[in-house]
Amino acid sequence: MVTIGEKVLSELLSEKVNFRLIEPHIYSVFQDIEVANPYDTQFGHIYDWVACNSLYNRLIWGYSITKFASLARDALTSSGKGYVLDLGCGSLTFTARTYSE
Amino acid sequence: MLRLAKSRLTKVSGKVPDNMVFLHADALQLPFQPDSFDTIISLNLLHCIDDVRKLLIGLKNVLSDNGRMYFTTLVKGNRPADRYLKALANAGKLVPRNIDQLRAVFEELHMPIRYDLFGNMVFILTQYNRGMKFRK
Repeated sequence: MVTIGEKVLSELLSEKVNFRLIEPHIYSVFQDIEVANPYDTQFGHIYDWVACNSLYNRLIWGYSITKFASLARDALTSSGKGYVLDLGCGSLTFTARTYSE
Repeated sequence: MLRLAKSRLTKVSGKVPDNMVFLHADALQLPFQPDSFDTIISLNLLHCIDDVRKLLIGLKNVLSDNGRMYFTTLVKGNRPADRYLKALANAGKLVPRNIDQLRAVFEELHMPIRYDLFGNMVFILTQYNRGMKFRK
């Protein structure tokens, strides 16, 4: 298993991109300003609580949230040895358990 | 949000696995080298993005040859929830599309998709091969 530290991250990033450590395991490519979107505010926490609720998704949107874990598992098992990008990973509500395996 | 993700991961597995890192960046201006990833997962992001085409072009650039991309996104599904989808769109929370509109964007970029639709949620898989042109 590859350990992803600053060295690996810097190899993945474009040469012109600078990044900084925000706190252990969290980096940012934004330098001087705090960049946020509505999902980083209280709205994001409410969204996370509602939108990730299994009953809400079943009743309103008509699907089971267990399918997210299946998709993530399929993706990871089919990925070979290369790197995996989870774009817009959110709070990992649906995927934390799969990723921790 | 990334702090929340880190917290959840730590709660589940005791720590952030050594092979994972969080990066705060702009999805429409990906900071990665070309061909950096074998696999891309993106759950419930497409319906938050106005310019899906721009997003996919960026993803194609960082995906390795024969790499796979997995998406999920809310779409219009000829269901009563379509009205809720429209209300959320009117509130500026998401962009409502149907699967044909999404598929057209993928196909324009030579990224044929396979998908499963459950209610209003579509699960999309695409494998990108630089030598491949899409044929119907």
